[in-house]
Amino acid sequence: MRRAGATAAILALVLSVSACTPGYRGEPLSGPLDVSGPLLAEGQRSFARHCHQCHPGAQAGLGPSITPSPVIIRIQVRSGLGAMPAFSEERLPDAELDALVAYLMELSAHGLAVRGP
Amino acid sequence: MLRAPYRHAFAAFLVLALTTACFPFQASRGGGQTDFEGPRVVDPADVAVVAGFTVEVVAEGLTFPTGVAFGDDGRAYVTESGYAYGEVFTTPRLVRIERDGSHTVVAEGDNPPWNGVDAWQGDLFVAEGGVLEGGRILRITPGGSVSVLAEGLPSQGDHHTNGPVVRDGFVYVGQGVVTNSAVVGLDSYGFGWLPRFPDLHDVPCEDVVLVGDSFETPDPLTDGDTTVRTGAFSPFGVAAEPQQVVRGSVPCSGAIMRVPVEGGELELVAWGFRNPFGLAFGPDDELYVTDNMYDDRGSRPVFGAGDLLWRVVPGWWYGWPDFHGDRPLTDADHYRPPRRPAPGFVLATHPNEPLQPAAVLAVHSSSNGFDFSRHAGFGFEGDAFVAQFGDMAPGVGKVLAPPGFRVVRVDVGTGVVQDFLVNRDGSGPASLHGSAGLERPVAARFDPEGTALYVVDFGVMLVTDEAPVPIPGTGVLWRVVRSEAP
Ligand code: HEC
Repeated sequence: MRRAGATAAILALVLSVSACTPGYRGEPLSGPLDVSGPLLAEGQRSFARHCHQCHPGAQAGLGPSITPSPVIIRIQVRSGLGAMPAFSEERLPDAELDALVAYLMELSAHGLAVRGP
Repeated sequence: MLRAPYRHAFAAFLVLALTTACFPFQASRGGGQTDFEGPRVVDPADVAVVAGFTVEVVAEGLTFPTGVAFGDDGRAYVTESGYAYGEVFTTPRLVRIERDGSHTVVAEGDNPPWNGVDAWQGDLFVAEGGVLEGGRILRITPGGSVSVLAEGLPSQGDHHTNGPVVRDGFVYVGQGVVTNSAVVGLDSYGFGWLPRFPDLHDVPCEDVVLVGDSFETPDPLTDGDTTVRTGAFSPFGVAAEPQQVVRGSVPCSGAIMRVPVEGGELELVAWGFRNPFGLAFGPDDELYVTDNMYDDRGSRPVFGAGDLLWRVVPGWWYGWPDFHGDRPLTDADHYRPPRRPAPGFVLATHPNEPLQPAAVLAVHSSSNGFDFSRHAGFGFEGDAFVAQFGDMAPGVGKVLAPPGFRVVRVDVGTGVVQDFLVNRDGSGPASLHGSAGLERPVAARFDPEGTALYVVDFGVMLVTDEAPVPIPGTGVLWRVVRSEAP
């Protein structure tokens, strides 16, 4: 019984997480994102340096669009499942990863909030 | 039962395990992987720009335009390439865009592609790509008389002579390399030039020492099913030896070179680039260059190498064919393509420590001509506006969605890249969406006042599994101006 409950919970999470719609749309379509805070500014720089090339603007390009889920982003960045490289703590320190995650969540939320016609 | 935080992590891990690691099995969705039925229709309403700007169409019906510059008469002069991937030859031309948008031919050539133009003291300076006779640097008067400032640049391969930019009495050009990553292979045959020039190979600017690895391929130049072994910086079918020295000379592959505006000796500025396509001087008076990076193709394929924007230090070597920016290609976790071997070094020693680029742009975006904003009336002063031609997938490797096909704005201090001009319907060219927006932006340049950004759109180029299919007559010149004060 508990087993079935756990499986159902996991399945629900899997579905809900994979159904997250990322809102990344870029400045021409969703207006400027305010990154005046130091955390978001650091996250934006880190994203440009490490991720933009394969996920331009966090959207799909060489790789897929980035799921706006902190857990998924952290696991994927550290483990590099599949065709993506892993990022060690040496290359991308924990504090910088925190900023990167905060930036991606903000970017996605911003795009969703102003999603136009 | 797992505790809540672990449960979340475990579920996330499951999602990832299920949804990632499927990259090798997904189909490529490049921007050129579509159909097109002409004529091309353009409508600025289908193009989205940052708030406060308006988009206009200046001229249509151009064939493979590659660059724009402004004469002393204030008019825009555009180079039409005369050659496009897919082995389509037309006539390379310099055309003047009249006030009504019509084009007047100023000069024509016969050694395409003409890859870009700059103006100085009323004359126009053209980088002649030279797939047939080698690259040249041309000076053309508004009356159409052409003089050759330099010739014999190694342009008969994958990449050509590009740029140019004029500064302090010199014309600077970018010279692309012959290959993808220094080894002539079946991809060179696919490009079309290997049967034309079977002995062609990359030439370094200074002497280099090879590790000595060679790469085995079938020999498409013979009918039989023979195989051959080819080394780096070597002609097709010629193997490399351990510690082999390859002599350097100028002109060379993957370099920025310059020649006086009156003609004279061609000098090396910097080398170790792959395809240095766009050149511009920044507000700091330093030279910047866009460099199209490695493809996942040929005998030594490289995965996931984004195009680079460099600030150029004279005399420096920038890492090709062993580095991507300051990162060695031997980082297999990053650069090994799925189900292919990891690239090893081909050079036994490296001329200098590679630098960190000013910015890393999207993989396969083909980040090309660019310019810096220098006028408060336009805004974003000091930012670089980079035209991105867009991917040539699947030939260059696979993409999950089309990168490029837009103009991005780059803060060269922080490396942050942001969209400036995109198609409203989403990523990819207008032909992919059936819209009337951008196809393939290839150059961006401000007018002499610095208040209008001109964007050269090469036009439609489809990509099939066999070859690129460029469509003549579909090129457009766009202009972006301020509609509200910044
Ligand atoms: C060299 C290219 C490359 C770089 C750099 C890269 N990624 Fe990825 N990424 C990929 C590819 C390819 C996949 C898909 C993996 C697969 O399916 O095999 C992926 C998958 C992901 C996923 C899981 C897919 C999903 O649904 O969200 C996340 C999250 C992610 N990347 C985040 C990042 C972040 C954050 C960075 C920067 C720290 C980054 N990536 C840098 C190529 C890259």
